[in-house]
Amino acid sequence: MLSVLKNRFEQGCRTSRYPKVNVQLPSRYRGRPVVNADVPADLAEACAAACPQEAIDAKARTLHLGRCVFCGNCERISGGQFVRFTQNFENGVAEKAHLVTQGDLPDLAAHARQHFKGLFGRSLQLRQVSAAGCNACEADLNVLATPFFDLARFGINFVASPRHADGIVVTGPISRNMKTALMQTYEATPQPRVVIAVGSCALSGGPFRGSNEITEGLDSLLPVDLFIPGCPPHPMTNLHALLTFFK
Amino acid sequence: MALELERIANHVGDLGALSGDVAFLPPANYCGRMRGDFLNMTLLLCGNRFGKGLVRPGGVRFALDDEIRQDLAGRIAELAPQVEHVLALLLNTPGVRARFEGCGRVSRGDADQLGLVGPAGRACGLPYDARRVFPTEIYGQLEIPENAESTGDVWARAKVRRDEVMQSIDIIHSLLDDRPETTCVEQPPLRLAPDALAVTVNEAWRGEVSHCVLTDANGGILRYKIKDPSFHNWNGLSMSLRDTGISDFPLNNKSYNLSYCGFDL
Repeated sequence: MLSVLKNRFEQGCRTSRYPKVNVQLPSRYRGRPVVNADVPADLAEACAAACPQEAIDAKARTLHLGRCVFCGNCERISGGQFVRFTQNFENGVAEKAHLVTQGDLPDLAAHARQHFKGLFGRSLQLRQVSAAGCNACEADLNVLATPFFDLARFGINFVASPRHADGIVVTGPISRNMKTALMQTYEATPQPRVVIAVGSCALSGGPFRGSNEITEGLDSLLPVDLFIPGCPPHPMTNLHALLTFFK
Repeated sequence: MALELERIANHVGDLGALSGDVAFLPPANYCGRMRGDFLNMTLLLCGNRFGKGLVRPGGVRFALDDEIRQDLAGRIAELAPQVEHVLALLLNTPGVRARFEGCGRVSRGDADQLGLVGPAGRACGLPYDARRVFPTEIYGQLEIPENAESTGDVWARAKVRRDEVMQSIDIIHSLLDDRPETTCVEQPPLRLAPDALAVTVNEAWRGEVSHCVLTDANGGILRYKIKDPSFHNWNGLSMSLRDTGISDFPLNNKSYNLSYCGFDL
């Protein structure tokens, strides 16, 4: 018992004060990319050619956040001139079109489905479906339950059945073998229901784009309400998106 | 260092999950938080909590500078005693010990025949550790201890993990002090040798992981096969579960913490 108390004392309170106090991520963290449109065409084209995800449109000088895996190749090639990854983790968007960007994402709160705030703002129960994910997105959703993030203090929980859920959170490139299970989970969730796509794979197929074993984007199967880009999205990206969208 | 950070994060997470499974909640929560702190050290190193973007053919893309070295050393100095105390609390609690000891026992002979790897194999008395047997990179210069426990039960699997966490913390300490040279590589245009076969063996946190690539006459990939430690260890779990009650399933399952898709690769 004494040992339990001693450990409790040593651990202290570790829960972040976010969103009242902002969280600063380390300098090497690759958050929201910002594109500088005023660069020579050959530099933009070199970056586009080096992008493993075909996420860069060299002519329009835009970046597709849904495809981007945040590897930083473009930043290195252009020495930060064309693309620069910032420490900004606020990357969630409500419309698919918003994913194609130069770095200035529209205000998520303003684009959120307003009736969801009334329905789920005080209590939101989510069912997670890993549709062939690599477990990075899943793990960084899971950690929202740990003391630092403590998602439950906002009334948001992950539950063990779609019957208990207000919506689903989908990760992974949706392999053929997981498609039926995903659709059944969606149908088993009572209406009105929310659909959230997390990570490059669920948004666009990620590194598996072009394979006929997967679905290129959850939105081609279901109406998606919230897109959270990243590979995987940082837990703060997930937390920010959930709080901004539903609160 | 990245491999050891990954090992610590996962072992700490596993020990927390084991604690949660025997309804001893304080270490379960503390381990969940501390696991995140170790993932954040990988984030510090390369900008991604899971080390994505760090490793490229021929090396790494990020080196340690003095600022990061100091930051890492400070974080580890603060965390190491907390980890030690929480894991001591877990393993010294009589209720936890009573549940762990004798649960899901696998004999050394069975483990050997099934080819169990990683902490699960070492918990049965098989000393095999790829870091020691096939040392790559700097592992040849480090002393990787033999962590063989002989009891083969959940207790042994937990204890091996605890020992490895503390050893990995020491390894990181020594790497921070010794300052080995790091060469950074950019993403090269990948040209593979034609008509070649390459096999790699590494000690991941779950155990031995092996990649094998076969190339054709033009240097294209003919076949790429990954053998995950889970491929061997699922059979260990089924051996653990022989003649046990269903209530021991979750605890045994956590003590292996295997990957489903790792089996199918």
